[in-house]
Amino acid sequence: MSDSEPALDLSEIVGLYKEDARRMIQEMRSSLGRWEEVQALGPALDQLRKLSHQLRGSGRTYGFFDVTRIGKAMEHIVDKIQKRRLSGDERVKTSIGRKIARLETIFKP
Amino acid sequence: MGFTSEDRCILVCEDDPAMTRIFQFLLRQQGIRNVPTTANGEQALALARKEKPNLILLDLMLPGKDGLSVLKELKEDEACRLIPVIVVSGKESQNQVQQAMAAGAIDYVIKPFEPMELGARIRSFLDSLSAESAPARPPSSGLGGIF
Repeated sequence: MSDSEPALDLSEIVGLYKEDARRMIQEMRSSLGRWEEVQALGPALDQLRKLSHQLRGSGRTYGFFDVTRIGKAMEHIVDKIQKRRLSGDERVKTSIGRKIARLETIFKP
Repeated sequence: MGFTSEDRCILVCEDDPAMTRIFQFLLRQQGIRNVPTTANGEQALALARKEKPNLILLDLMLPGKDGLSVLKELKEDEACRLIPVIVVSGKESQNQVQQAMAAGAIDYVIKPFEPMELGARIRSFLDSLSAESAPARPPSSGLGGIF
């Protein structure tokens, strides 16, 4: 595990969590690839919001503190886009892309 | 009459499979095997009415009918209103917590949480069921009068 160990021994289910997380991160990549849909507040944005929210909630619970931190930051950005407080420009796309890359590194097999 | 963990039924309403798995893990550690799960608000209501669980772990952000609506409908349903509900949600604003508690939740756990802490809260709740006859599991098929 790349972060600190959880207090309870979750080793029995952490492997499955990593598989879930990898699948979710792939879906995030796919959503990022549909950036025009994100800018138009379409399904890709909803998907990014849902996945970042879920990773925020599950990461630290499973002992992956950085995953919660990154998920929270992504959720914050996506929320701002949704509320039109942040334009979905190239800079924002790059920022989200970097965060997804961090997640990919954490869950690299 | 004492209750064993095997008697217990805890309904998990959560749309994130990773969180559902950790709930199942924590409950299994408490010896609870009867853990119906659903990722959908409408189905959560249907399962609650059918199973009459001892406890419901309820997420708020469910597809379809959201968790707060599920909670309110449960509390308006004569057959389900006594089923205790612990809300487990990533929504952390004071307003969300107040709404859930006002709607009848017995506890509100914010995600992410420390698994041991949630395990302890569930254990404490189950112990309280063992120590007293109420809050009781509403009668279900074949178990009428036990809970």
